[in-house]
Amino acid sequence: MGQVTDVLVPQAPMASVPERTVVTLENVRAVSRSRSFGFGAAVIVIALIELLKFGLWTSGLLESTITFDDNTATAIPSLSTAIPSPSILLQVVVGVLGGLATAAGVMLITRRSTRTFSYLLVPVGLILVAWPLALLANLNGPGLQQVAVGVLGGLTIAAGVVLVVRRRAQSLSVVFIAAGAILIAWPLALLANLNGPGDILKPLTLPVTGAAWVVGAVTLVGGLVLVVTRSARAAYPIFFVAMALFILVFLLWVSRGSSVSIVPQLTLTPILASTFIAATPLMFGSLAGVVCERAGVVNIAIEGQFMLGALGSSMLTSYIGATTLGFAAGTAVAAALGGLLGAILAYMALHFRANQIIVGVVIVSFCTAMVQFMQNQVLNNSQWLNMGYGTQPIAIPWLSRIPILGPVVFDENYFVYLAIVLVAAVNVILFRTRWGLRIRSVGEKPKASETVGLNVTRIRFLVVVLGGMIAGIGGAAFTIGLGTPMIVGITGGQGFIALAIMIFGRWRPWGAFSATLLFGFSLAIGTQYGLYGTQFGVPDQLITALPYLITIAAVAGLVGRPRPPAADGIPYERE
Amino acid sequence: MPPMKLELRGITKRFGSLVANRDVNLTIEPGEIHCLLGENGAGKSTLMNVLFGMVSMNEGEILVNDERVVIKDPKDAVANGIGMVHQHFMLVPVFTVAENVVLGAEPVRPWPFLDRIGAAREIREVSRRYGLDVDPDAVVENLPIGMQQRVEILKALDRDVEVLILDEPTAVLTPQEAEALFGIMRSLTAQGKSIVFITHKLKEVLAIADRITVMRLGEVVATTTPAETTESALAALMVGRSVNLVVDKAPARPRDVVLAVDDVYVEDDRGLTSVRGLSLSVHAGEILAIAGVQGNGQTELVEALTGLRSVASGSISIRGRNVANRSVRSVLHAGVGHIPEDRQRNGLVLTMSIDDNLVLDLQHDPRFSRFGMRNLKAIHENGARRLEEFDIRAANSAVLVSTLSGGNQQKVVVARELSRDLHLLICSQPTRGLDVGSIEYVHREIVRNRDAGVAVLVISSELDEVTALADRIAVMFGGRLMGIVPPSTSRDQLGLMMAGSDHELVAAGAAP
Repeated sequence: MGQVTDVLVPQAPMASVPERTVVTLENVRAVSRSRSFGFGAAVIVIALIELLKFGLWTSGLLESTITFDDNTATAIPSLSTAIPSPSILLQVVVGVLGGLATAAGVMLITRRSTRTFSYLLVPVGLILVAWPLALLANLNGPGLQQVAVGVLGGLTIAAGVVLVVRRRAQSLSVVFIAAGAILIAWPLALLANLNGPGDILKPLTLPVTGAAWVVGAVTLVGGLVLVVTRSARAAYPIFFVAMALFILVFLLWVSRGSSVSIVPQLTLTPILASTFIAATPLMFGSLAGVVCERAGVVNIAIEGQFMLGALGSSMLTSYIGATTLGFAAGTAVAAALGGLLGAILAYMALHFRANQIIVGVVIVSFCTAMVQFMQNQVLNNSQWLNMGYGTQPIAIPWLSRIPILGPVVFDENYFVYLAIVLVAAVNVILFRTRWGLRIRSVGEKPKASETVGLNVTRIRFLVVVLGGMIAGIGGAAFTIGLGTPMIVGITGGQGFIALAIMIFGRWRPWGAFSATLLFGFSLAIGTQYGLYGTQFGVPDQLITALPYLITIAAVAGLVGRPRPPAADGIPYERE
Repeated sequence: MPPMKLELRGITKRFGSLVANRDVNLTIEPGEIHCLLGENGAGKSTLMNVLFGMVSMNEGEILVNDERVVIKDPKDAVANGIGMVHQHFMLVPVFTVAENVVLGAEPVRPWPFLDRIGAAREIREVSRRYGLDVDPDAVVENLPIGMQQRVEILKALDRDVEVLILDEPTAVLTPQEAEALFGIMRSLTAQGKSIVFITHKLKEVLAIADRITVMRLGEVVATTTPAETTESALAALMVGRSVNLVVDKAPARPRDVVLAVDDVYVEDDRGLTSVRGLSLSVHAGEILAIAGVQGNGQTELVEALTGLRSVASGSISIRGRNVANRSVRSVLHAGVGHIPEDRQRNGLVLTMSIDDNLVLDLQHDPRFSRFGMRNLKAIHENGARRLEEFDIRAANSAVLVSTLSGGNQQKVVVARELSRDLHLLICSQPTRGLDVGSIEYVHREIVRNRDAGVAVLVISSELDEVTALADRIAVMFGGRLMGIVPPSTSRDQLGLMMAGSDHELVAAGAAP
């Protein structure tokens, strides 16, 4: 056996010391890089569809007209009414406060404070200073005002960019940049005289082929950039922008030549508005999912919490009447019912360590039966308990008059505002507070939490009840949010879709929120444009089924491989 | 907090009918390193979990500076100045070092917002004071094991503990990393802290301890000092009889190559390459042992060899037949026996009987099934025979495997794997968590098979086991083979190879 000596020669290349294969950042990046490649490939496919289907096969130069809305809300307000003039004393106070705020903000920023609100102080302070000054200088003439607003917009954008560069409060920086962009666009739009007759934005007429070529080319570049650089950071943004552009081109294509056909003109604002309406319950549902799973409990009972929330709020509001009190009480009872179901789920899952999925499904079954029972035995006999009262949209002053965006986001019923506030609050709580750190630790490694003196069961219980309350409010959005009476099947399985959205949003509040909008958009398209799907050579049903197809894609992990909390769904047992 | 004296009096802990600790008395003096020595299952960890409030005791009391204290949960323990570094780290992998350290006692500014900057500053301060160099902003899962352990120690020190319990801290470290840990321990005791060091490794005890308490079957059998005792005396105390610390075996008589692995690459679950271009061969009649710290690709290598994991590239052949990326059954048919590293997860179906576990690999065999119907009589007869043959201590072969002790469970795995005609036996951590008697038994079986002409591949992170069993030692690091050396190689050289260095030392080891 002469080989014994030759196997003593080490096989590894000797000159270099190999790196360790523990998970280093470098390794993790290597993995995300290959995913970026997948995203890039998908974007390129989208671009090719745009170029070949919409751009190439459309004969002639068809045009499509985008109108923005059918009411006067979207006209661009002139600036002449923009500066209110209060008493001199108040002007002085406001001016001084503004100066102090600006100074404090500048000081904090130069000292590299970690507090993100310091970045907010500067533009807010400048606005406050500018207001009395503008009055003093009697700036209510159009030209100077427009310049002033534009400059303010530039400053806001600058603050946003500073945030991005310093890698702080990324979500806030987006708001800054968007607000700044609007402030700049506003006077520019007035200059360009975009207001049409009747105080409606002029309709926009675009050549379909040309638009497809432009968008297709841009998308193709984006896809190629992703494939070549494989940047993990850019993957998600590029993918989402490409999706949005694709949908836009698709809509243009579907409504082409609309003046002669039965196809209605492409009216953008209603689609976006119905996006929000369709998405509202899902915002609450997916947020409830995020909250519970961050603490390590799978809340599959969201559908049931939706149902009882919808039922309870409809009945109580009908009983009290369509007043503020009625809607408030309806919302509160929905939260209470959702919280109660959450408590049941938590008790079964935490104290008896029952399988969370099974308990959740049982709760959903119970709620289905409960709704059926109430419908047959109570609501059918007592119509006065199911009046279908709905909340009125609340227009937020100024903001609701922003063209296109205003009527969509800032003229909604209070459920939409509540959802946005909750998402923001949960995001801050989860990632900025001690409670959030504890909640996440319980969802990732409960044993570690236990050894530092945290009560895993209590934290999980509270969080699941809280999540249930959020989902219950989402249920109220089905009935008193939309003004529809309670009927069996009103929730339509959206409680389960909410969980898919949560995965799609990678267990993050804002991620889930964005994914909700995507779902809402596809729901809106499905209901409004499903009929015209045949023009695209696909059956209507396929477009209507789009949200569900996205659900499957999300759950299957096609959109990046999501990483759930490590202890998600695993009962915790003390020794 | 001033240096503190800790005393345990008459601690008794029962789990059902099992007595894990019986009337244990233990005193930890200020500033000492107190080794708690005992076999797996001797009750060391239970005792410390009682002290740390993870487990409630049935009888007994705990005294801090001669005053009685009540410890119901870890919070009470920390409040009384007792900290613990668990064998399996209690760290949240996706959190940063700072987040892990402050969890449960987070600085807030303003309430309830986390003060990340303050936390990081605090950690830098503590780590400077005790010489534990850690970046507070690093994410824990990206840190090497030794560094994660420092974070655990830091976590305890940040809470101002005076007594630090270290549960089997060296199990996951290379000898050099362990040496660094000992340095940290000494600097801690120099500042008045006391340390309880739980281990079953005799060499470490003699190297570091001020005092030694030996436990066996839940009771304290002796308290001594390194000066008064020896390795074999401690071993005898641990086991209750004199033990043979070396494995009796004749020199190997290697014959033909059975297993040939050539330039194999394997990816782990996350898609990261964890075995990188590994080549080795195992001959009939020899034991090749792979040494290395856990997580350096051994698990993936074994899974690839046994067909449980696909091979990205390279070839694996058994007696000249390629088995890379073949089904597990075809690998077994090629004459491979496999003792997996986690017998409870991968070796046994705990909720099934001994009988059924013994034929898991032979369900389709005509002896045990006909036309899809199981031959229960034959299965039971087989079970009863193996019970006898492999000395499995159980009432009968129909009892559930979950009711057996760890050693007997391992014997069931060994019995099943050795009941086929083998050419190659792959043993992964074959004696992990076993008592000394069972270890001797498993080692004897491995050597017996080698002498019967089976090629044996042993994968172990216990350097003692590797040097005791191996005819040749291969060291793995970072998915690569750092070299193959004779068993006479010194621990220092093996340790350096396990840490990924250095080719000169490897060459020195390989030189005749």
